[in-house]
Amino acid sequence: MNCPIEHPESAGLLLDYCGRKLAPDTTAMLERHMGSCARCQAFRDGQMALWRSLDAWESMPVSAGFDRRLYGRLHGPHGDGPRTSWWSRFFGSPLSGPAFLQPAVPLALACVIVLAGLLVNDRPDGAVAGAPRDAVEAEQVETVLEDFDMLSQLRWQPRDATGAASRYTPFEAMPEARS
Amino acid sequence: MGVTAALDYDARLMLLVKDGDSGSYALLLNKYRGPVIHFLYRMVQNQSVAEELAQEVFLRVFRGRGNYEPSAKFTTWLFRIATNLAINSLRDGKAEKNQEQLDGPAGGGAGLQVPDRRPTAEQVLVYRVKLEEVRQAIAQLPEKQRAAVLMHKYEEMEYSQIAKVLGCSEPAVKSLLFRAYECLRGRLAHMA
Ligand SMILES: [Zn+2]
Repeated sequence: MNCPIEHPESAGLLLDYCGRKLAPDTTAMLERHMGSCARCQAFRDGQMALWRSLDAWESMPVSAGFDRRLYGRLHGPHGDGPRTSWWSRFFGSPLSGPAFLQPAVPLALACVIVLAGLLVNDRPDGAVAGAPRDAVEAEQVETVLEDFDMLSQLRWQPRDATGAASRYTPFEAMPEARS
Repeated sequence: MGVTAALDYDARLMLLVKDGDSGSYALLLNKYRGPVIHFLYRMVQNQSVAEELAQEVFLRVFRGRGNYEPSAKFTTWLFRIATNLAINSLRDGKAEKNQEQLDGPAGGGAGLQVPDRRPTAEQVLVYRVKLEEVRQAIAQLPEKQRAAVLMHKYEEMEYSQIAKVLGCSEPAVKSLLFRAYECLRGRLAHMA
């Protein structure tokens, strides 16, 4: 093959090689060339070292009040920001699935269930079918916490192109922005 | 397959924002808040200016929703807004007026990546010197080369996307990147 360094039109080839983005056959062809081309070898070693150096510049944390400031500006005197209705708070985006399955809301639901359980157990007769009150409470709390744990780890996957029903999927499996 | 089915997920969300869906706007903000701020921070190298510009990006996304046409990926549109704002800010010299010091709160990432998690004073010093050299080397690149490198290296965007963001051809982006990396390799060679 022609040496990519000497041909500007194939300038991206060596970068893609260093980024491991080339197809296996192109990779093999380039590696054969590199075996006898000191310039391409030097490029590869230098580029890999450069990327390691650039990795030192990590991302910084985003200020805690960023969203509050943004929504403040959107809703400000001249703003026409997105009005968050009770409907969208509860159901979220049509593509994201119900908002009530996102982490904060299950916590509230869990609290309601625990409270309801305590109220039921506070009946005047104090009877809870065949189990001591403390044991039942502990079991309820444990179950609720387990449910909460499970719910907080799950997200809805968006509807597919045919509009088929959504299904649960881990957050990491959601579609990426770039292909 | 319909046009909508062929759109990427973010573009579909943006079309819902266009139709007045606030939940979709919140999802896009949540997904791209970090990448946009990090990109802008590396462009202007000042945290408060970067966040101010990022606010402007997301304001423009919302205010421009009525004119949004999903002719390209949503991220292309988003980073085009961000890049234009960053370049204008650099030309205005806003970032330079508030140039941050290396040991400021936004001097780098969350912490040093050293095995024992308790870096020595010497390691901290070496890291800071190294980071400052990287920052300086990138800051010295011309605006377009800088934006191209940041989108390619840190945002992992494709050549075609970078080309659309910068308004040039794909071969021009490859050539831009080739020259930019060549320059950086020269400036940072001693760190290897
Ligand atoms: Zn060669």
